[in-house]
Amino acid sequence: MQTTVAQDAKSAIDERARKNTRSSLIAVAVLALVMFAVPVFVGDSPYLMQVAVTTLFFAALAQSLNLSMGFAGVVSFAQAAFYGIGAYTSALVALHFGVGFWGGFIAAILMTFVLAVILGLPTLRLGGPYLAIATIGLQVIIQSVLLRWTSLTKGPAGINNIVAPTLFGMQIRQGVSYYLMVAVWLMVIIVLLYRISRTRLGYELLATREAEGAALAIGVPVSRLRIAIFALSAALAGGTGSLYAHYIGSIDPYVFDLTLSATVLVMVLLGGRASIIGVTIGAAILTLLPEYLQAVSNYRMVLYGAGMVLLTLFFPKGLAGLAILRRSFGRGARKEQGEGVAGVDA
Amino acid sequence: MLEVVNLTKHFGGVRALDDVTFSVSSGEVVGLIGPNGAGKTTCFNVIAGALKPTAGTVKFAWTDVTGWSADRISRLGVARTFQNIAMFPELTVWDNVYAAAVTRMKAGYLQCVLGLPWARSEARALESVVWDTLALVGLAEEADTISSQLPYGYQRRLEIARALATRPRLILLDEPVAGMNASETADIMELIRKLRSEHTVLVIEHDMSLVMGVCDRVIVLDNGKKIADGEPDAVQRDERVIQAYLGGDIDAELIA
Repeated sequence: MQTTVAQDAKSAIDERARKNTRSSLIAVAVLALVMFAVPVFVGDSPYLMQVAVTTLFFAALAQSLNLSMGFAGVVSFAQAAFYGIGAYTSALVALHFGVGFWGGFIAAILMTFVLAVILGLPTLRLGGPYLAIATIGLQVIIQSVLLRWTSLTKGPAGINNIVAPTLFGMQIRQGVSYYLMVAVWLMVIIVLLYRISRTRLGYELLATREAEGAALAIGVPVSRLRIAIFALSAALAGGTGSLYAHYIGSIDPYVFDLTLSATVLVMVLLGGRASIIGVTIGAAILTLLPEYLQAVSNYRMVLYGAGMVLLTLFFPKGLAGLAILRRSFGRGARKEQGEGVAGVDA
Repeated sequence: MLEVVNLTKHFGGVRALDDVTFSVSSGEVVGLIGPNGAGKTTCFNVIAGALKPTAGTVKFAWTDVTGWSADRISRLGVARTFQNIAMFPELTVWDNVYAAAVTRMKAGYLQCVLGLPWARSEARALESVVWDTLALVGLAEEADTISSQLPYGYQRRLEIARALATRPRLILLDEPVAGMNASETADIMELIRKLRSEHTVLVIEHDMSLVMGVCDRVIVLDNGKKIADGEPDAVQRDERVIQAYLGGDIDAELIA
């Protein structure tokens, strides 16, 4: 059927796909460069380094949610809960078993993964708004457990004197070295998501998100995939929680609340579902903005709520949908006049 | 290839399928027709695993697949399209088809994420499968279009392309030309004729020009029961079929 035209279309699109692969690789490289260059400029200001590392924590948390929500459409309001479980698991394991940060870090990842599988089995049968509400339940319950299981978690007092990590015999404390460690972790997550988005798993996840019945019909094991990706997402949040606990040195249950979960969710919406660069920028904006808008901190949730509504109404594709940014966002940007970017971006 | 035995599906008190038995042999193009509400789509849903039957069995390629999940049946080689178009709306045409193709990869998720050499070359080989499939259904030039922005007729073709990309042995088409004009219908008929060299086709359709034009055999359902099964010409003259469609009179639509 019209072979020559098809050939032309094929080579044109192949060429554009190659260009887009290149530009999204460049985007990831630029991101890495910016991330690792930050300490060069603000390294001597403890306050700015603290802001910078907080941004990284949020970005990592937002990317973990991007995996389940952005790619697979599993909307979860429980990301802060898994972040908290990671933090507590790591702190407690390091404390009681004397295995240091690295033992705690691995324990946090395993614990959140297994717990998410157990919790996901019943809840992920739900879809759409029902799932969202069920995850709000999970979030509230998990935070209550952290708060009330005092024999283990010390309740509201929290856990103090969490050991700092050691790497190559050196203790890594707050400041530039810790920033670099979190930056490496964030890069690991970003590269993982990038690879997923470009390969089989990413396409099957997007199919699941887009139309469950059709995904099943082409042979995607939808329920197993949703549980697996929910667990992987929780494990990434758990690992981030571990890094947070050992950074901050003392944790209490109040940090890991529904507000944090909602904030992270807005970061993903602002950045654009499944857009790796977009979500990173979204996380940076929503971390830095409140720092400079302390005056309105009381109204933050009101503003986020309004923002969430406006985003879904007018910018369903988030930052990744903005024309200026589109070029550097990868495959979904292939069609110039089309507005599709929510597909596979980098 | 496909054997459906005493298939029954109840929805509460409604017997959507009532003791239906038929088979489809390898290489056949079989039409499944009947008035609205006869149970045709229910029959597809049960065969494809989207619904579990109340009673009866479905065998595909000598395997009893009754009650299997839809994804498992798909991986065994049954593909389908949907009456109410179900694309991946935010993905491009190319990505829609590629998503179907990757489900057949030998390399697992992890091998692909790690970018192992054989996973890479397998994925690259699939790209030409996607191009061939798009060319076959005439959508190669639309490869870059976001699928929800396609004209209606093209969306139906995309569904067929996506089904084909899973490299099925049996393909179930649910009203592939619904809402299409005569020339679009002729294109799809041409496509089904091309498919038959490598695929077995079971097609639900109200458009009699298509049914009479491409089907080797026609099965007629009415009120969940099979009332006829035979060559198109014979079925067209069958008293019970005419009665089912018209309650006795000669059906203009059926003859046309």
